[in-house]
Parts: sequence; structure tokens; C-alpha cells
Amino acid sequence: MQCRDARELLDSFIGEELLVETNHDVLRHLATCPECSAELENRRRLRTGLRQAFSRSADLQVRPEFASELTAQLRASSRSAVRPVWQARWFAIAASLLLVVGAGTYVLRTRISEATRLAAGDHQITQGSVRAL
Amino acid sequence: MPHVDSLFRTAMWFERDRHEAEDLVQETLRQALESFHRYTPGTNCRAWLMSILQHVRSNRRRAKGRSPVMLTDAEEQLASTVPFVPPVPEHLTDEDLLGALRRIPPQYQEVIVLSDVEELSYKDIASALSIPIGTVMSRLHRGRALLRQELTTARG
Repeated sequence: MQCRDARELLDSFIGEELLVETNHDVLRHLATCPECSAELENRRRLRTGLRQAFSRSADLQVRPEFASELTAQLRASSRSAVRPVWQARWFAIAASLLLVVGAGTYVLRTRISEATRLAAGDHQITQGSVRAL
Repeated sequence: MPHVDSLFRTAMWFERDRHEAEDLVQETLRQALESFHRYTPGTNCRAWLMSILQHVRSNRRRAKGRSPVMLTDAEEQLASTVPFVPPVPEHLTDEDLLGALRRIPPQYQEVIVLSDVEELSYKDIASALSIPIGTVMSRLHRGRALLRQELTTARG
């Protein structure tokens, strides 16, 4: 790989956007080219510097109370929003599922308690009754 | 709400007005809640929110009669050419960096902020700005070169 090719790929290399094989080609070139390694450091420094400048700039920071105000506003707007048709459909499906699962649980519990009663009454639990549960 | 800081930072950088930026973030999250069924679990939620923010911002600019940030074909071609890239000055302050970024055209600021500050992938930036991935790459390439020129000029 030539320096010109490597430099075209350096930003994508930093952003981890290269395919594995191309990434290896860049790494191999960097290992033998101090100029391109220095250029890589330049670009990394610029990228890190920008990120830090954004995170330190007081103007770009959110007000401490903004998040709680926002939560209250979003809750209020979601309460006032009309439930769309798709939500009503999903609600109906979810309710049906809940009913089926609830009924199944009730049947299972009845059978378990029956088995427990049998066991308490000195009845030997056979393989067959376990399978029935 | 783990992404509010990030959304606000981006909104504030472009709007340069706290009230506008807060309003933009609120509208973004309101729309996100409404269309949460469209979000694919396991994908980058911050990128999804950033995409909504960019759409809200773009619609508002259009409604205010300001055109969304767009480049002509000639400018897109220019974006793919490589200007002279000076070395990055040794000692840089936050003011140097933010000032230089502010001086380059907004379409380059957009991709640099989303890539270098918010660390979105090329694919996520392309989706957020509704532009092809190749355009993201060429704008980043030229934008970073312009940024370095600005940093050098300011120091010169």
C-alpha cells in the first residue's frame, strides 16, 4: 500500500469502518511508515480534541432541570394523545394472550394442588401422575 | 433519558439558541415516543433519535422558509477533491477547535459533529441526513481538511 492510499483510508480506519482485510493492509503500512503514523496521530488528536471541546463547552450542556421538565412534558403529551388504531389492536391481542396464559396457569395450579393433596394423603406418586401434571 | 445530553448538544450547536434547542429535543423525543414501534431493538437508539432530530430540524427550517442544508452537484464534486491539508497545530484550545469548526460551511459541520463528536457510523449519518454513504465520506474528507486549514489560519 502506498502512502496516498493509506491516507485516504485513515479516517475510515479511525472510525472502524474498514473491512477486515483493508484494515490489516493499513496496519501493515503504518508499521513501516512513520509519516503516515504521525498523520494518524494528527487525525486522532483532532477528533478527540473536538469531542472533548464539545463535552467541556458550558454553552452546549443541558440545564440540570431540563430532563425532569422534559419527562413531565412528555408524560402530559402522551396522556393527551389519542390512542391510534394499531395500539388498540395490539392492546386487544395482548389482552387475549393474557387471558389464555391466565387460564392455563389456573388449570396448572389446580392440578399441582391436587397432586400435593394426594402426596400428603400417603398416596404414592407414580410416574403416571407426574406425567399428568 | 440517557440520550438527552447528546441530542441537546447537537441541537444547541446548530440552533445556537437554548430555547430553540430545548424545543427541538422535546419535539424529537415526542415523535420518537409516537413512532417507537418503528424502532428496531438492538440497533443504535442514539442514531435513531439523531435521525429524528435531523428530520425535525430540516422540516422546521423548511417551514421557516430557510432551505435545508444542501449542496449543488458542483459542490458535491468539490467535496470529493482533496484540498491542501496542513498539519494539526501542536497546542489547541477548545476555543480554537470550536471556532474553526464554526467557520467551515454547515454541511461539513453536520457530518463532522455526527461522526467525530457523536461517533455515529457512516451508515447512521447517511440515514440521519438522508444522503448517500459516499457523500458522507466525501464531505467528511473535505470538511476535516477545511477544519485543519481554519486551525492553521487562525494560528497563523
